[in-house]
Amino acid sequence: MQTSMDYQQVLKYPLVTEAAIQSIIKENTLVFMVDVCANKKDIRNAFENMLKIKTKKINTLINYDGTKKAYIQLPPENQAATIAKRLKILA
Amino acid sequence: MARIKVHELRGKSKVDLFAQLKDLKAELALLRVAKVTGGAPNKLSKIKVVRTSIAQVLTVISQTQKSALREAYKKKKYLPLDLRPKKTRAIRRRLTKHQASLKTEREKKKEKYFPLRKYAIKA
Repeated sequence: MQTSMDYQQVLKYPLVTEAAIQSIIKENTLVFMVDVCANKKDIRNAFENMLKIKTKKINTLINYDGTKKAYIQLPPENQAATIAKRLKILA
Repeated sequence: MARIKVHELRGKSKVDLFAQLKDLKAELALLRVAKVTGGAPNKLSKIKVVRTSIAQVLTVISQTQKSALREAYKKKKYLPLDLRPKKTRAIRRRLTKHQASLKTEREKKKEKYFPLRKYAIKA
């Protein structure tokens, strides 16, 4: 599948569940709900263009109800906690 | 951000419209985050406003594009299929009004020399 998505349609919203907050604090990763048609390249693209954040590694999974979740690990220079505060994910 | 007025959008250039679209989508993204993290009600109610503004900008973009295309094709013989009238398949295959009204010379002469007469009967 060579077609890439419009980068503004890729990311939907960040997850703020207990488990997601744990992964922000412990593993320097943000957890986002993402469009099902997006692949990891699109997600990386969206992060760099829309949010100007460098990413290290992206893991994706598809939930039972057809939505896609992306675990986006950030490199050590970017602290996920500060970015989460900037994006208002953490208060 | 103030409410978008569509008649103001129509004057803008394509570049401006796309830039505005980008801003609106970024704003929508922020509002969606606020929704998930339990935002204030004034933010949540703004989601609908921003979504309709995005729709309005996209509508203006496509409407001006279509009308510009129609202008470009105005003098040409063949229009692209999606600029031609859609109606229904049967209607498109009917004779045009002009074609249906054509008469032979013979018929025209007959009508001229032997028109339908109107009589009145004296009571």
